[in-house]
Amino acid sequence: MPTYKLKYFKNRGLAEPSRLVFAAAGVEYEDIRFDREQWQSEKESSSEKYPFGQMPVLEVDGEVISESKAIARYLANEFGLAGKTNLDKAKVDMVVDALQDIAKGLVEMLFGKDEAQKAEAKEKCLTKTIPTIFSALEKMLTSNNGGDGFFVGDSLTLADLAFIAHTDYHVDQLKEAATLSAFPKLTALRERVLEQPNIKKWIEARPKTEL
Amino acid sequence: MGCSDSKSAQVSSQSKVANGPSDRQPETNNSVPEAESSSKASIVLYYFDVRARAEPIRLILHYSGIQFDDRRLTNEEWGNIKKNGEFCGHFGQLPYAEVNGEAISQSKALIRFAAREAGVLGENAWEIARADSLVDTENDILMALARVEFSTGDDAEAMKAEFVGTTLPLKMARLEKTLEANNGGKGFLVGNKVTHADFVLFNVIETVENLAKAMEKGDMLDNYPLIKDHTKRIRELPTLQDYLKDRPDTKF
Repeated sequence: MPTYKLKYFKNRGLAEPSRLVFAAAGVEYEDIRFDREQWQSEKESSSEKYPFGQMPVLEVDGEVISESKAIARYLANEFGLAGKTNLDKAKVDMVVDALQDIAKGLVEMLFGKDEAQKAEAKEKCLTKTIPTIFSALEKMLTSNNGGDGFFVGDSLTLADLAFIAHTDYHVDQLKEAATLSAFPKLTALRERVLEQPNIKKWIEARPKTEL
Repeated sequence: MGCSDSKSAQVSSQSKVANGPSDRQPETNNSVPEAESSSKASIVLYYFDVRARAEPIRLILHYSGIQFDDRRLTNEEWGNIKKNGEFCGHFGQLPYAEVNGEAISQSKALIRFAAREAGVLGENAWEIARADSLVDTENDILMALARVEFSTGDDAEAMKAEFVGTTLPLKMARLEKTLEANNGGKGFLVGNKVTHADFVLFNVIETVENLAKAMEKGDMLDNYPLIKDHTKRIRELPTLQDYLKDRPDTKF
């Protein structure tokens, strides 16, 4: 087994889908987390380890890739959690890409330019972005064997894990809105995945962070 | 347009069926291997009549000679489709494709699907990951270009300035470095074969070239000779020539 190092901030954020993949697959890795200062000095002292000057990065036996989704997808493929056929893989990709829009909305809401922009972003996120995506995902899930299994095919894939990561809201504003409860199949899927022993173990063990 | 079992598409005007190598005998062998794919999948691609998010899909399919239906919708047709509830794509957005009747949305999922069908995703898991990661960063440039394209008035000038002054140099420098590190920039972005990362970059550069022309800044890409060479290399791929000649000329 190769040596894996995943480097990111002290958040769940964009790295969490990859961490969930490691957890689901039961594969050991080094979960490296930097605070802002450490990141600044890392960037300067080891820039070759950060090809696009960003995190997360994945180091496999010393070789590096960036881009959170490319990393998650690579790991999912390595561990058989990516979908079996080309069409299934496309469906997994589709779910993961759509979920990213939630993350984007969240960023705009929390880190917008000024209060007005943040309020506008929050409105858009809660009344439009998230409900639209959840509605589409509920439909997609339901069309897969009635929605009582997984997003794609008949086993756990990155799509399900990314879904967990992107609905993990400890942010107060979103916890209240809790729009997931309007979608029964999605709600049940989340509970089902969280009950899987490997996932449950990780959720209990991982650092508790706001984002 | 319908989902799986339904009615045939009413979308008329800009439907073009792309032809594969069975209709043309390419002179050179571009060594497109038999992809272990959904052999002879029926693919109908729906998008607007622009390059933007769908062009890499079109390029990849034309490059590899995979037949597909290239539906280009007007805003009106798109409005009608959405209104009539015929739309089967998941997120109310284009591009979206019907593959053997199943709906797949999200441009990057479709780019990757096409690349896998065409055997141009990358030769091993690591190359695939590197190509994927390049596509994500190239997509950032496309998003920035979209902001430039769709901003108006004062905003437009500010967007252009930010793009030309900050975004473009930052991204181009990294991509130039990536090319240099791979066979001295004499080939492709990843490994020894073309991948979806090359087609996505090509599409982005075409839009940058248009922007440069519009801004009368002919030297916008002069600091990136390897990228310029790369663009030329993709532009000259033999199996792309017919498509490049015939396709609609679009700014974005």
